[in-house]
Amino acid sequence: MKELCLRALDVARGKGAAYADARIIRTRRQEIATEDQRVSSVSDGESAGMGVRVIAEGAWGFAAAPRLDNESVENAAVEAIAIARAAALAKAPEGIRWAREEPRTGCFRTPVRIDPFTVPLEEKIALLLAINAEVLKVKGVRKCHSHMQFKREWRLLANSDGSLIESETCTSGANYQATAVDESTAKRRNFSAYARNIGYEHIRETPLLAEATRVGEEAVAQLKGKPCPVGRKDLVLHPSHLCLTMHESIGHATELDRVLGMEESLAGSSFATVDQLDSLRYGSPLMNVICDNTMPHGLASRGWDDDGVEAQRWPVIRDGILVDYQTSREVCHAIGATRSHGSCRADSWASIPIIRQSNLGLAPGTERLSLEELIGDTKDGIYIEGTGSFSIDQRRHNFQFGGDCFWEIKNGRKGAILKDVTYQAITTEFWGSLDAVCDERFWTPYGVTNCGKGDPQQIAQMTHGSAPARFRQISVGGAR
Amino acid sequence: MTSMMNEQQAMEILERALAAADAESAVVSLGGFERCSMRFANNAITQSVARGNATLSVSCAYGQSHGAASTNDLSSESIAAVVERARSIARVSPPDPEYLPPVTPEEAGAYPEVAAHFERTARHDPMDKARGVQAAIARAVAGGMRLSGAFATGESFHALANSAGLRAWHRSTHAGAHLTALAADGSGWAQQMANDVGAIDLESTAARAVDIAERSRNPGEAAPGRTTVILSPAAAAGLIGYLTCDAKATDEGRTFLRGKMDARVCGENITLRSDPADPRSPGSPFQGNGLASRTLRWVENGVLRRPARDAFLVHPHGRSDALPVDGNDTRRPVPHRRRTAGRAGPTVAVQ
Ligand SMILES: [Zn+2]
Repeated sequence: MKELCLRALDVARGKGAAYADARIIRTRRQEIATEDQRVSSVSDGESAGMGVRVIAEGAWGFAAAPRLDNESVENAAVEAIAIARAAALAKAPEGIRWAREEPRTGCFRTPVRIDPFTVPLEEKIALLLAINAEVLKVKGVRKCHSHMQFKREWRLLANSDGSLIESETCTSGANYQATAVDESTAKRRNFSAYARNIGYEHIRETPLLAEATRVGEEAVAQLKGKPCPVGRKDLVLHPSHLCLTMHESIGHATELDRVLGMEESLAGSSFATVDQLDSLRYGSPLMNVICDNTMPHGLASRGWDDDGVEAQRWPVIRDGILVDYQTSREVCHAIGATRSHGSCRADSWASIPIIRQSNLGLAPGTERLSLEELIGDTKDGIYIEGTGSFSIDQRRHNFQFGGDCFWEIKNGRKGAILKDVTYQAITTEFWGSLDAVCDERFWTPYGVTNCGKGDPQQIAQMTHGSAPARFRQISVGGAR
Repeated sequence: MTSMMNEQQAMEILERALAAADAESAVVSLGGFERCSMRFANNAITQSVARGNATLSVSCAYGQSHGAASTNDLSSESIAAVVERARSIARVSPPDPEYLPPVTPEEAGAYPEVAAHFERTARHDPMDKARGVQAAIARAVAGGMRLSGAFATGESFHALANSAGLRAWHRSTHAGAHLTALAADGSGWAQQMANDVGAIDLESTAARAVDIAERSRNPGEAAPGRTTVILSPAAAAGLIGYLTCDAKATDEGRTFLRGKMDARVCGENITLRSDPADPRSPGSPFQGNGLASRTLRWVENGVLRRPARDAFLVHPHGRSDALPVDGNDTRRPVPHRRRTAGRAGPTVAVQ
């Protein structure tokens, strides 16, 4: 495999590439889906191939092919050069300013205790059907869907800097959804072993079955939930909810390619422009946001990115001020950096690497504070768990979020279940209203496995962790 | 590159897979594509990508127990391995009461004639693409704007074979461009899609985006409240999907269309149908299980006629009698819709 990568690099350099990299990726995925007491699908797929990326005549070219033999990888290298030459017809006048990087060699492996692909299918199916049976015992629940997903990805990257990097990651996750139906409506409640880079031990150690009755009951309770109030409320947001709010309003907004307009036509741009670096007040002084691709079990943790840059940990927001971005070797010069933070990843052998969100999270509060104490300190608010629908504008500034389950907070007590809660805010006003974050005992990582970006679209995964946090006087109920 | 195949090459692989799959029933399919795209932003090409792939999918069943596996390694050893993986999953899976046996050629029905493959699109080269992008950028620059977007062409095929004797083959080409023109205080978006790249003119699409951006400058405030809005065809198309909920979920009361079957859901002047053979936007002549694609009515003069059905509910062996079936058997025919223009003309008015 190493020889095939080096062969592709030789051909690319021989044809005039100023820079070249070749990546072989082999992916295996297993997915199991059940509906009530039936296994609706089990699938097991494998895909492998090589992608060759070049800079020639100041433009990018990329070509990918599934066959892993000399002829096929040579053709891919030749095609990458040809397409770069064509692109040079309308390249940027300044060309590509590719940040220098030392050659790296190494191997990264996700720490895995139990390889999910060795666990018998019967065991996985039995667990999912047992969960569904428990959920369906709850009166008022009409339907239960459950899933498990496992992915193993081996990659080998060689580039013309002289880097040769190998990684093997393993991602495991499971989730289920209870649907309660009455004469007028349907409500859902979800529970997950949130995807992490880890083995099957994650599934065994998450109380999937133990929580089934509560999850079913909370779906039913939402049918009779009080409607979302309209007005301003203090919000106490659980990490299982905040993961998506952070992803959309901070994670995407601080991708430097997007900030520079490179995603304008599809995914949009960002309000957090480069001229505001070190001055934009993104949120309150309690807001510290850290990117960390060295995080154990993080969905974006794999040792090096596809630019061959070593995984790093760095703040993007410090004490509420925008201080950095998520970068690649192609764009880091735009903020005066000489080195990339290593946020450039491709979702498969057939995709060109683009800036993807890192494992990005809200740092825990420095003062001792539990979720109970936080709710106890809140007079008139709403507590939200889990993610629901959302909408955010092209510049990541004006948004609305729902959730999975909602409770009224009255005089320091978690009270009745509410239904159909949404909140609306401007990103900087929302984060500016952050006035309490629980301490590190309550900091929990959650994962996003379906982040779409790019054209052709790529699907990436990353982890977003936080502790429960409170946001004062946020507008709720505007969607009613 | 070499991911595209002709019918004979694809069928040879499928026959090999079927022969290896000595399960009670088996469905094998092979899907492949080649695609080349150029992306641009800030008036310059930023990413240019050529890629291809072909994936063999195998589904085996013993009684009602089924399993599926796939691979993009089409060597003999790999075909044998992927068949074995599907079989081993099927062997340990509990019986699925909603499993349906493979569709026979008689059940499949006659496939409509669909003209979706154009040689010049299949042969479109990166230099032609770059020239198109260059012309579009020049148009935006002349209007004092920044242009971003993408221009892509591709070719794909889908071959299907099953143990009931069904064989199906289809190939198509695709071309598309979308552009965003940015002025200091306005923006405009335009898109063109076709199966024949000859129908795509990047420069005129750019002119449209620039014109919209020009007219969007100095926007006024819209007061909150109810108002009549007119949606462009692209915006209206984005909403149509919500009228095609899963039938089983609707039947079980889990979608907003519950109880709305055969009820008025929009104005009498609105009819929604899908037609796989429509030359303006040809679809596939057959569905994923091999049943023929047919013209479907989703909304007829404002009345919701039929939500999309799960294959089980409409399959010849399924419990189709439990539902008001109008003879248009299909399996989630979602991606192919075209609204019949009503009196409102090419746009839909929403109050
Ligand atoms: Zn995302």
